[in-house]
Amino acid sequence: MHSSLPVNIQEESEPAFTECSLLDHVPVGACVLTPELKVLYWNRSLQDWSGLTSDVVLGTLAETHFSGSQIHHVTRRLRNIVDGGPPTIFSSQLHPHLLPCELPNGHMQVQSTTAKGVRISGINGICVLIVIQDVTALSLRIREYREARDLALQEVEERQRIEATLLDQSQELERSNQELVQFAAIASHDLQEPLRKVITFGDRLKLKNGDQLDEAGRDYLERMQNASRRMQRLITDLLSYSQVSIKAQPFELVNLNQIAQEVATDLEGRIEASHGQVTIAELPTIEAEPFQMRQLFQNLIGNALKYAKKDEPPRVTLSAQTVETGNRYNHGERQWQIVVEDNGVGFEEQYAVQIFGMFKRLHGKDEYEGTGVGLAICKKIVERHDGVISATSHLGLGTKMMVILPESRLSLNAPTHDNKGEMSEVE
Amino acid sequence: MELTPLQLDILKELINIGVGKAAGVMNEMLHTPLELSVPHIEIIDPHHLDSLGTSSCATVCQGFKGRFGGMAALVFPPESASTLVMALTGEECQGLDLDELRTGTLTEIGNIVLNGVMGAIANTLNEHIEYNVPSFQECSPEELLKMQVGDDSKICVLAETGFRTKDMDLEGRVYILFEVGSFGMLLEAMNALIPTS
Repeated sequence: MHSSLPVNIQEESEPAFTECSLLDHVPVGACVLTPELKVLYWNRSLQDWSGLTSDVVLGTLAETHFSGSQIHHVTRRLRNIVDGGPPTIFSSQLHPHLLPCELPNGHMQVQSTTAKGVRISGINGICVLIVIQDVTALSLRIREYREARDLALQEVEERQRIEATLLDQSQELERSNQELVQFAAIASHDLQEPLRKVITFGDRLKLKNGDQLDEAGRDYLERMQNASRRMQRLITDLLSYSQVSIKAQPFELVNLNQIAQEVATDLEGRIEASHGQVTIAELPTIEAEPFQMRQLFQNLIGNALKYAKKDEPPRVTLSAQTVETGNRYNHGERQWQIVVEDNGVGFEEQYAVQIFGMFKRLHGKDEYEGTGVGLAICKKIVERHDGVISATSHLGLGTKMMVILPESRLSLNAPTHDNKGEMSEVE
Repeated sequence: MELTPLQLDILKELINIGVGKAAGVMNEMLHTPLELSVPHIEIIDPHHLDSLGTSSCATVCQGFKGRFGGMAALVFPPESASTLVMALTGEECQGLDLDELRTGTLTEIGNIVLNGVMGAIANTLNEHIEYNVPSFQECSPEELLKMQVGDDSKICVLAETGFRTKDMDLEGRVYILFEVGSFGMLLEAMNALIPTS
């Protein structure tokens, strides 16, 4: 007879006890309850976990060892098993500490429990086998995983919210920008008409009544005419600037060499008058908008000729070479750097960025005519082509304008020229 | 096999009693009041299961054997299963994935529902039934039933089951697959409940 069995269940339970002793060899907590729900067997794992030895537990009502306010509910479900009912699950979320077991770190063990009816030799009726699994580590890992996932989800949500806000703001900015550009275009166009009238009637006044004016009057009229023409140029340039975006045409393969030659031919009169020289090295063929490339070269070559020294004929050189990087829009396309270099008056290096601003002029309007819009247009055109424009210069030592443009867009491989080629000159 | 409307009514009543008992057990256990209902049941041909859907579901199944054999299963779409577990346990977690903790809880919920239904059937039969321990699996209803049907003839009862709390209204499905002989026993027991005129 097992010495540790309480007297009240010793005799009839001896064979049952022996049958249940196998439960000492399984790595889970296990106990067997009699049909009266008294503890018939309490395995070693349960003794270790709970600190309750068999001597104390055997023969006692199981519910006295279970925890929680739901004890009656648990007992009822166990009784259902004794009555022939199906096995019962007590999950770790709903019954985490069915049998209170304190861990060395002071926390309570988390348990997943299954109860099933079994027949045990020598016991009349259905007994209940309760198997308790320690799922503390698993629960902890899952809770840590959930926390990490929740945090990640929150971050994703926050990022999406920020992205949506940025997108909204960007669309709003784009819309507002479009409106501004359109306004500039419409205003420029509408201003032209009254200005044309001022100039026309000024001309008539000068022609028909010029003789009746004294010298001061004629001077005033002359100044008024000059100011009107200057305003006309300003409006025209402003219109050109706004049209870079508004009247944008599709991109196509453009032979920059041909464009530069045509521009130089257009400027032949000015070149000849200044005894200047424009030298064009082999330029590439790139995917671009032809009209805007023409505008770009017109401005760059035109500026190089305009800001010549008084005592030295302008020498303008156009060249091109491929570059590795240098363009924030670069998505892997081949990049070309086109350089327009002159021997003109130059400017102080500190103005290298300012010169691309709208209406920015470094020289007085009486010294060099112009509106200060040309380089702003160049910048806008280059940026529309996903390129960058920059300048280096020293006062009295000429200027170097550098334009970096991608060779192709949308993976279209345009035929290219080598960056070393024959030179052509326009004099 | 076709049941008479009266037999179908009795079967529905039987399952309702079981589900009602399950609701009682769950309400005793949970802080969130849960209402269970069986708005519709039907007998389906287990050899024509294509219409049951092929998408993976969260399934708690419990086999039973002996003179009365077969299998009972509670089936939910995975996200509904997580929502149900979260509602019943008061979890404040964002993700809807069915992790081990949730599958454990769902197994207990399924266990209570299936125990209620099978308990009601067992009482009607006045027959001892031996049960397997319930298990959780993710599979489509078609896969689940095909696995169980095998070559033998079976009768399948489908009971649509509503789970409602104040914040949630979900629908699960209870499938009970009976061996033909077992279903015959159930019919006999049900027929005995019909008063003779």
